[in-house]
Amino acid sequence: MKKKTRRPAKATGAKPGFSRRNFIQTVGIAGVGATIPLMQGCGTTESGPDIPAEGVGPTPVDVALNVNGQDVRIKVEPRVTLLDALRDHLKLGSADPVDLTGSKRVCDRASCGACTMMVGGKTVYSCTTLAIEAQGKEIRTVEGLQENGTLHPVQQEFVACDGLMCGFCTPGFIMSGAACLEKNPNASRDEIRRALDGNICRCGTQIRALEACEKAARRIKGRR
Amino acid sequence: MPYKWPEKKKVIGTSVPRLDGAFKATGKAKYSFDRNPPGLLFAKILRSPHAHAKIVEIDLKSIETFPGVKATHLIKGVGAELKYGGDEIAAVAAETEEQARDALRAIRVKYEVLPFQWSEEEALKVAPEPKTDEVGKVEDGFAKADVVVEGSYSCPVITHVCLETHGLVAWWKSDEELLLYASTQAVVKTAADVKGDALFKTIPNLKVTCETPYMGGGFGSKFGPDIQGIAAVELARKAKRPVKLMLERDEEHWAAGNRPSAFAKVKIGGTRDGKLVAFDALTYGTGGFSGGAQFPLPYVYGPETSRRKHFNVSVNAGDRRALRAPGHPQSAIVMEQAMDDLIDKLGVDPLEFRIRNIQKTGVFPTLQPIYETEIRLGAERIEWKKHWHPRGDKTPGPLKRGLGCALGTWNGAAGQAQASVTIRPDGGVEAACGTQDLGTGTTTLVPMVAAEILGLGVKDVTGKIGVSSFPPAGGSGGSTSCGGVSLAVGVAAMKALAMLFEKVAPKLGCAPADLRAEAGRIVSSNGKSLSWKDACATLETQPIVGIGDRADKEIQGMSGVGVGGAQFADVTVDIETGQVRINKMVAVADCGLVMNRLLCESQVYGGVIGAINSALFEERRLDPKTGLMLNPDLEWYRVAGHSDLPEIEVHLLDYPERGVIGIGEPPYIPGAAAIANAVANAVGVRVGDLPFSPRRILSALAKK
Repeated sequence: MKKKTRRPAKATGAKPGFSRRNFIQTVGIAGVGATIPLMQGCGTTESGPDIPAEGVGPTPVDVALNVNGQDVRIKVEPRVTLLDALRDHLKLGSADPVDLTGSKRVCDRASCGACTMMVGGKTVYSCTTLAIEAQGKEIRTVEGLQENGTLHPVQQEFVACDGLMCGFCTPGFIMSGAACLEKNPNASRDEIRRALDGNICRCGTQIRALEACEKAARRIKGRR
Repeated sequence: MPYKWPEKKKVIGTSVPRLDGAFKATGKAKYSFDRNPPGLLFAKILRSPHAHAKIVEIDLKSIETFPGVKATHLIKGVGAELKYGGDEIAAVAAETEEQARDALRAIRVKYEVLPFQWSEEEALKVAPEPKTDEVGKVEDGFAKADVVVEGSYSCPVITHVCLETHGLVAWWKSDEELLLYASTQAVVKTAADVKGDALFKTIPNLKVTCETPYMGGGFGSKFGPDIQGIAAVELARKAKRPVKLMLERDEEHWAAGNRPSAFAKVKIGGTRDGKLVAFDALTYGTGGFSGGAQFPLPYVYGPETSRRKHFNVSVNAGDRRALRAPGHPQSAIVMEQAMDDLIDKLGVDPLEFRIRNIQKTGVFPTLQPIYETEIRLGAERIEWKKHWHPRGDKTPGPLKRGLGCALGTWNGAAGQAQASVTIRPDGGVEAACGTQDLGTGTTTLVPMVAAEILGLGVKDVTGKIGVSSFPPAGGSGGSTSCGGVSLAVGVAAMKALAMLFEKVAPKLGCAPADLRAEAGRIVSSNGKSLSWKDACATLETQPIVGIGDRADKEIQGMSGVGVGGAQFADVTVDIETGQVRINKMVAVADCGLVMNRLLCESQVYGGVIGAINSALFEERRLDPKTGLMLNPDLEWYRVAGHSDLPEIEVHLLDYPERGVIGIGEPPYIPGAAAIANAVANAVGVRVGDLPFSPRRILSALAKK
């Protein structure tokens, strides 16, 4: 790209101070319209009810799930997600309560990965998977990673490397990392990075989460 | 006699992995969002669909018979003004979350839609005239300048994006006993605010307890029950069942706080022999409907003369809350970019010019040598000498590389806190404090501090925090917790230990002053010693309790104030696509006495990543047509994924003699400004307006 000569800064004749007028003229985010009529869409308007008084949809149905090797039966509306079913309906609705709130609801639309589970061996966003869809498949949550009470290598390294801060994203990161390394313990740094790309962290643990997964990979390889 | 930290530290300053790490990593940690007490109801809030409106009619009666509904609560009645899209109107509790959501749709509301303001620029025209802050006469300053540069800089409103949304579970154990599981940065204040709320303050003998062992991020936005928390408590009272009300992601963006925008027009003047002589700024920003958008300026650097006028403008959007170092990132974004433009025109050394012009008053004389150390170390680690070039990378091809640097400062004084340390006859030790752990590591800090003083291992002490009935501590904000809590726990442990020495001294045939606690033993200068367990057995049946209070005058020297931090960015910009890629960030941070090296470093990584997000991705977009937020989600409100992040190098400077100073805010401050300067250094023009999306980069290049 060709470079144009830039105008030299004026050392003299520059007026000290600004007026609000020239300020408004010069400042502002590029591309945002400057004037908007203030009276747009005024008047009286109504909202609701947009739903019948007796409610909507089919009533709760029986759902059978296999979670972390355990069969559970719950009764939920067909629209209930796998995430909400495990978080909120297992304990409340079943005779033999299991409490699986490790998977978190953060964005609730498959953008952040906090709800990551393994279903049929593949990682899924459980916030956009219906509970009824997950029937007949093996569901694995962060609570199911431990073997005989020992932390999964990925869990161990997340703790040791401090790959977690507030911890709310952590179960999702750990599931993504564990799924990646169980499939391929020789995964390169970039492959692990891609596996974790669907997970968002706000505290800023990503650097150490990656480090934890790399160390866990070495551990898993050593074990095999 | 004033209390002091021990000269030789065994625990403080080491790397202790989070004590609650395994609970978090296995999913066993119970956050407020995860609490499901028996009989739980789910609550949702009806919110304004208009940016500005008045409620003309509302009918909650009709949904009382809606399937699953157990209680309703009107938050704003007929005639009330709704000030932004997402303003609270009513709340409903139902058997399932799905039913609660449906019930909201069954509520009939009539609104009078009012004119709204979405644009800061438009709002500026009607903002009241503020006072001007002036130091010296800027006219005289500019007259002395060899070079004067004018520039415009801005950053938009961004939101906190706490992964655990705001909210709580309210559980009335009886008519006068309320238990809250609240996602809060302040357990003591949250309980007190609910107890003092107009709805509940008339309840005789009301006892409110807030329990928050874990919480999923706050960043300055979670200091009380909020409107939704009060609504949940009221719904639980009406329904006589526990109620969970956690915000949905869109509500979190609308109503749970944000960082104000900042727009600035700056004129800055300097001399070729390296003096910053004049600084003139007109600034504005919005913190939502109530407006407040203050940020300090001039920042870090001290021009000989300065003038600043700032307008707080109101728009119809959710209100601001503190977000990690409130105001300071905006200050750095404005000040550092202006400095960099001046330095470029002056043709002076960017690092030396910065070092030379650091403010000369307040805490800055102490920070001056620290900044120098930080800048020199950071420059070495980013390979400044090798990669820095005058503005505009002359390498052929579309990829342009540049370096930038920026400084920040934060007070970080120790906040209010009390703590108790109990030593039991069986040797057990408990350290309790009504503080909370936001992910910062307080859970690990509390037993570490007690263990240091008592000569024990971290796991020999049971830390108890996150409950409002523990000795009261302030909210965790402003990087004040680490200092306050460390002091309170440290002194409580010192007092308890002194009591133990009184009991043990006769056994060892010496005076209490001859005793010290080390490596699990109480040791006398006469050579005799007792194991910790045997020493505690001298208490027979009565435990001893030491109380520490941060307000105690004797402990003031154990903490400090004022930190400086420097960050460096190495970026590559593709001038054909406008894509900015950060290659590396270096952060050099000062936090006085480093308490837990591992966790302290994590805080700095987190600050840098937060700064990268705000520099490249984050922006709350309001719809000019409706005034509603266009991106209240995590798809279009973007934050970094792993592949967006560069290599980050963290260096902690340890200054034990300065005492404990918080580290939560400081590393979040300079990063975005450093990236802004690196982008300018790469592409040869000032982009100025954050975030650096491809569109903004290409627009700036087109004007070149």
